[in-house]
Amino acid sequence: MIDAGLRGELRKLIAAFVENMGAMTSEMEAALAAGRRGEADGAAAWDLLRMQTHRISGSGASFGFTEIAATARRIDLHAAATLESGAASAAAAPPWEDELVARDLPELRRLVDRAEPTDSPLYPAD
Amino acid sequence: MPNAAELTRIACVEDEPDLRRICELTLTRLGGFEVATYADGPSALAGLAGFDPDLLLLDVMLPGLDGPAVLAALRARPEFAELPVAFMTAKAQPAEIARFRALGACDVIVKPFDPMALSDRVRGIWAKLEEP
Repeated sequence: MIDAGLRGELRKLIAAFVENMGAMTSEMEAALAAGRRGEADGAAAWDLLRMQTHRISGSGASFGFTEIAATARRIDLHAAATLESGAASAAAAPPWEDELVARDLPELRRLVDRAEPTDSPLYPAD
Repeated sequence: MPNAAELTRIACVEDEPDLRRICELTLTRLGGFEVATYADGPSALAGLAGFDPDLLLLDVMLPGLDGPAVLAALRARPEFAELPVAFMTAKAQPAEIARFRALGACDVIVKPFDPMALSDRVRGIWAKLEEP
């Protein structure tokens, strides 16, 4: 049984995470849009994708946003593999031209936009 | 190694702020433990002596100094040579778990884990350490 203080803290934490997912997704979309305009570096964009999706995936899974976590995880692993193959190849194959990113980032956006804090199984009821 | 001692102080090294916070919240408020959290290896290595934990929960994938490197650095210090350390990781294939144990981890907490059950999980780890 959780007390009112912990209930409030958990609600706040989960609500902030849902809000942050939207902001992190916007940041990734902005990086890709900048790349398409020729204003971004491929390796830096892959790194941003890896960091943000790693966070969304890790925390999202613990909060019980399983579909979001799985989609973010696909991008995370793909970005990490691309970066591990070398910054030069990451720059030569930028994420704004990548098939998986083109499919999964809009899917992540769709899922994040639909997410509500109360979707989390950890969100405490009254 | 713990010897019929009570588990009271838990340190947690986790770079993801949400996970760090929820670990702290559930371990303190549900588990009743004293908890210190660190966002990365260097801050943990600097702060652990002042906290003197009974058990360390250590994320494997940390930026810069990763979990295994932090564990190696701790083991080189006499005061932490026998500190029980449980890794937290999504890399949970049997070969990876065996590698973490070979590095000196007492257990492996597989991510994602249920934060609400974390206190019971660490009590289980502690109980195993006390088995003869």
